[in-house]
Amino acid sequence: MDEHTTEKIEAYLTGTLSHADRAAFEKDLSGDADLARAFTEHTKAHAVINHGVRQRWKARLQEIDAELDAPAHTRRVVPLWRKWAVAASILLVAGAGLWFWADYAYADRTIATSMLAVTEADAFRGEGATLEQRHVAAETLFMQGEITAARDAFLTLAAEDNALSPRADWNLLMTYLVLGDQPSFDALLRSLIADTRHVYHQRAVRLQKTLQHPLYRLTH
Amino acid sequence: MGCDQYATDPDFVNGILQGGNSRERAVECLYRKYRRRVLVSVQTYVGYKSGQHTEIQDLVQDAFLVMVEKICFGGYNDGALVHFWIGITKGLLRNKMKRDARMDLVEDPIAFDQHDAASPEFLMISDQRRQLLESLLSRLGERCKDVLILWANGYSMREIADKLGLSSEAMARKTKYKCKSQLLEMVKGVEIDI
Repeated sequence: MDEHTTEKIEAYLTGTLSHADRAAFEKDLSGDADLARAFTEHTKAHAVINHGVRQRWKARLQEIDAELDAPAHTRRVVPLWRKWAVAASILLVAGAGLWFWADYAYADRTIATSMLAVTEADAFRGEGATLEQRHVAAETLFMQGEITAARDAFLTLAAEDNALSPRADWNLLMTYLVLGDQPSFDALLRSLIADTRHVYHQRAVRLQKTLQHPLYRLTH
Repeated sequence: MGCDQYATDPDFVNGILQGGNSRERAVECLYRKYRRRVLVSVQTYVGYKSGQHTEIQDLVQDAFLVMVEKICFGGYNDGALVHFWIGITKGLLRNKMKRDARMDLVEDPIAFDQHDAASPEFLMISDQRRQLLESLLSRLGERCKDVLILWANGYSMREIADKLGLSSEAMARKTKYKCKSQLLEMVKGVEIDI
């Protein structure tokens, strides 16, 4: 059987012949005994090949069925190591966030600024206005970051014996806190806590609790 | 796998007729798209009984492969593929029922089936024939089997060479020729019900 005839038989059996060529081939087939014999042999061979094709496809369709019928939760299995990695990442990010927040919220300057006793605006009237103005000047120095100058001003004000001296004591304590003058800070804080009649006694107790907080200890 | 390129039935048919990788993709996407509808329709038709699901799934797969063959070799005329598939499945089902009376058909309100149940496509392959074909296939050897199956699926010689790691298109053609000749020798004198 020549190559051309074999190709024609194969084209017929694989369905790649045009409609007209198919009809012509079938006409040849009915009038050519050799061609008919060769065609029968090729048809048997193709039955074997097509059985293989069907087997392959059947196996593939069964795989697709298994995939589509699998419960949704088993379709995507997340490995344990990935779960741990995600959990560790979340903890790391949360930990870092907490650290940055605590480092700011429990900084000595933040605590002192939030606790500084500030003179009210309506105090600038009548007698004592000059004293109030001196307190405001010292508080302004503190707010502007000139802590040493503020400390000196509050030292002077605290030494005076008047109604605003307790406030000067308290604000002086704040300057010691920012300056890191631990001995002076400890001594003054102790005296404020010990003096239960001092106007700023309760605040001193609260400040001590803040300084004993785990996050304050962690960031110092 | 991306199936977006197959929006309509003619897209699937064109993909299948192109052969090779296009056929493989189109066939898989077509199966995924209509499988559930066909299964539900056939289960309703037979009246669902536990234990029959696997048998029905098997029939639906066989019918799908008959449909693909009809698209490739003629026998499909532009109808909705899902109805075509359901019709073939019901034809196979009736043939099965001739041998096995376990399934009770429910009256079908929609006449999907336009196919002749006695046509050769619906004749279930006999166990004897299956054994013979499988024995011939196994004697062929894995490499020859792979080459001939890819070729019958419409893969070009270039694609066959790439898929099987052959050195060239010419080598794929030569291998196919040798394998086909080997198979022709094997089937010579063997009676196969065609």
